[in-house]
Amino acid sequence: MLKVLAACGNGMGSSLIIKMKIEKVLKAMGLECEVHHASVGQAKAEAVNFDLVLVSEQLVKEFNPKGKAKIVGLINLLSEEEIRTKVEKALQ
Amino acid sequence: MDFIIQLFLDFVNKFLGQAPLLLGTVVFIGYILLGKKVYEALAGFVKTFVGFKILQVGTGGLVSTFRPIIESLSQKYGIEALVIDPYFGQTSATEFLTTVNSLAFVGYVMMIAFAFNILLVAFRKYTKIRSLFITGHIMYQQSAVLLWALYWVIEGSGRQPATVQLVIITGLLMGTYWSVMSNLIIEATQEVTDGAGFTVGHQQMFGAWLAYRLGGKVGNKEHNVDHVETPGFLAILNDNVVANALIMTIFIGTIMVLLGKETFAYDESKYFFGSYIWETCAFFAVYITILLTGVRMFVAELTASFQGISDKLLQGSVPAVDCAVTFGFSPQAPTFGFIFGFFGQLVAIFTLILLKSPVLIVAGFICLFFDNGTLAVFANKSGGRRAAAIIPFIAGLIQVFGSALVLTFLVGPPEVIGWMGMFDWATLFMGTTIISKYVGIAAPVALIVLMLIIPQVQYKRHAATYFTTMRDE
Repeated sequence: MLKVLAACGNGMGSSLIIKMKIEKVLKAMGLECEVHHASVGQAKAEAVNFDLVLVSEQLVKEFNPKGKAKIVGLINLLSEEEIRTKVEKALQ
Repeated sequence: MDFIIQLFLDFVNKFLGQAPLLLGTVVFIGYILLGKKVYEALAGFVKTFVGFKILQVGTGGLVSTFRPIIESLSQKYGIEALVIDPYFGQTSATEFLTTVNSLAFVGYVMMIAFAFNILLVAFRKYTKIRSLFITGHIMYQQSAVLLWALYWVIEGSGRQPATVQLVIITGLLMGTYWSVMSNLIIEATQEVTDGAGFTVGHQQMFGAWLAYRLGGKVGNKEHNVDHVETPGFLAILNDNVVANALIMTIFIGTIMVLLGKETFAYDESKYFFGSYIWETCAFFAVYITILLTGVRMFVAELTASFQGISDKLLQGSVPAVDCAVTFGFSPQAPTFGFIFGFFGQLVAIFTLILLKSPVLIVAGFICLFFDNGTLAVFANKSGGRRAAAIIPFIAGLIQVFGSALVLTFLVGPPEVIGWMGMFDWATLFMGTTIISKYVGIAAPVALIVLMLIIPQVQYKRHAATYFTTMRDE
């Protein structure tokens, strides 16, 4: 079971969109997952409990790159193509 | 027979009239229609209900924290201080509507609006509407604020619940606004995002469209804002807890200092006046975090169940999503918009003080960052860094003056602590609210008709390519 956290400024709009897209992408990749969404402020503290953190590209620097969770920065949050490519690379 | 009528009335009042039960039921039905298992639908009901109750803890806390400060200020100086932030607007709306037994109507307004949006897209051949609004937290928030504003100026004197007529008209106006304005900005969003296939469904679609149209006139798009370095310390604003606490301390803290320590009853053996101010202001961040947690929980369920409905009904519409989704395409612009919008709002606030305005505006973080950030993203695309500075600055002025104006018509009930402040709400809905005060329900009805003409004009301009921006059908 892959634990995924989607984050954005307030944890309301963009992160919910990422959540809906990543669920779809991981399902298509045949991976079981549990996806949460939160604001960046909360996500920073919770990242240790997740395998994968997805955020908009400009927020990547908020997270510890050496932590347990792989941080993935996205440009187009609605592009399943971009999410798939970047997530595949991060999970290798 | 009487017994059955009584049973029905009880069901209306005690079930359909209770917002969390109503929304929970909508989610439950949505999940069942999507073919989810009964226990999954039940979990959706529970999360919606609990999320809504958490939200109410947050809104109640915001009012009780802020109210004593507003009251002291109005006693001492005869000024009413109000925050322009969407969650302060939402709090005013829902806490006030609760007092007139109308909170559940917000749910109905939202459903009517969404249904109308679906209808307009379904008949796009005639209506020319291509976009479907799916930003759940905004849909709830706007429905609440619009119902509150129109209720107060049209029906407010009697303290009776909102009438069916008002609920329906508010719903139709809301749905028209979502459809028309998110449709209006499709082309500009495509430019900003290099054809990412979505549009903005938020609080400043009209504003962002203006910013894009005017950007080219005030600047040069070759001088892109992303070539400019912004000060590094602003990165702390990416954390909304920090940003809310700091901005509230700057503004509310100043007001508390002006009121003086004798105004506040606090335990002097435990606090310095300074640490008391800090704690009070930090509580805004506490309650906003609680409020966001609640909204996040119930909106996630609502969106998931609506998503199913809309996906099934409408293949190929353009999804209208949160404004922050555009930020990834122009990472420096939001910070730029924040800085210059902040200056604009400060200038406007000091002007209000100098003019001895009865309403004093307190700047809020979300309006400063997300509203002006979005305007900067769109202005930058057509007019570069010059446009991304000038337009948010002017928007800052408009946000404060427009909100102060509309709030002079809305103050009175003790639950009122602020207004949206976002661009469209400081312009379009400011005007609608004030005009409705004088001409009544005819104003929103006229606005619905007028707005529906906009997509027709757009279509005439580029009929050949108009529908090609939509997803493949």
